[in-house]
Amino acid sequence: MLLLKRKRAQYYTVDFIVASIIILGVLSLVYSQYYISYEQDRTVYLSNLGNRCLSVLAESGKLAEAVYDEDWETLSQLIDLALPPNVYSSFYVYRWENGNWVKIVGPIGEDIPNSSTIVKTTYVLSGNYTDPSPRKIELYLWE
Amino acid sequence: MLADVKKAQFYTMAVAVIAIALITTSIIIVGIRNSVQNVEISEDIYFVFDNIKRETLERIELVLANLTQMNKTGVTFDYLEITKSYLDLWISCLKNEYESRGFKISLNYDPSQISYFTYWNKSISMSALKIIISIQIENEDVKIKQTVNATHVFKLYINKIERIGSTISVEVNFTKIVGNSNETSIDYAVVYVNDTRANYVGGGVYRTELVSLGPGSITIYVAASAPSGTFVEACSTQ
Repeated sequence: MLLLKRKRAQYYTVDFIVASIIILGVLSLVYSQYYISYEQDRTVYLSNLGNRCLSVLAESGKLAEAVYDEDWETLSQLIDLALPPNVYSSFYVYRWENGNWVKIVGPIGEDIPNSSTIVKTTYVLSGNYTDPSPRKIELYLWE
Repeated sequence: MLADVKKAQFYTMAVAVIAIALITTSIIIVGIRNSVQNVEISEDIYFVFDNIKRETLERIELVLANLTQMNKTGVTFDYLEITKSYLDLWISCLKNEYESRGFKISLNYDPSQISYFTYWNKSISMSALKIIISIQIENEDVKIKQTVNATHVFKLYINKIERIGSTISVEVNFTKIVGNSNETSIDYAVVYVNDTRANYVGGGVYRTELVSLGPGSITIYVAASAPSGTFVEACSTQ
């Protein structure tokens, strides 16, 4: 009788361990897939926001105006206005000089966090009348 | 009875252990992911292509502004050499920027098809730069190719001058034509009539009113500025 009970207990224990492993495995798989998909969605969302923000500013001429006037405060305000309040940004600006990009300014905006998913989008300006040297804007976005 | 209670306790414990394990796993996964700074670079090829096309057209506007200004100041210059140097610098910049990130970029133009001309008479200023550029960009998945008519024409002329009492109403037309599209007016262009900023009324038309200093002739001097510079000027005496 005692032997039978012990065997049943062993059976329950093994059953419990196997069931736990299967449940944990399935849940971890579902969770990780969901998390990756969520992360990719947010990355695409931020990329689209950054691309649209720079395109709109470039089309209106405001981007070139602020960059070539080196009016970083105005540029920062324009970027903030073009983004939703829950999205944070920071940017760098470079000048094309002797075949290389030379940093003019940056980072400007919020402090870039050490731990987060950050999206970087860039835009290259072709120059203006007084300064025909191209400029590059690197915009970093995160939530 | 006792056996049933023990079985129930066993299952309760099993559920609790699974729940704790699940929560711990979640915390570990989230913690590991959040402790890493993951910088993703946005590389949408369509966005890149649009940027290159838009800025290449802007570059040609810049070249035209420079050629026009040199023309106006009477400097002798070789428009073809200047145009080529501006374009080549731009192309090398683009190649450096995007080819390092896995894109293949090709911008080609035929120098023999580049032409520049101006037409300035009493009240009309016009300058044009004609260039056809082939833009091609590709990555592993997509290839986009387009031949762009990058011809730029800027035309500024005094449309109407009316003297009514002590005011002189001046109407100016400033037209920008890019390629095949008829882009009348630049919404961020600034037009000055005798140093007075004119109001944009739509359709490429700018209007202002000047104070008449009495009878006799008056010279109306008009200048249009865009981000690329003051590139067209017209003058008329009434």
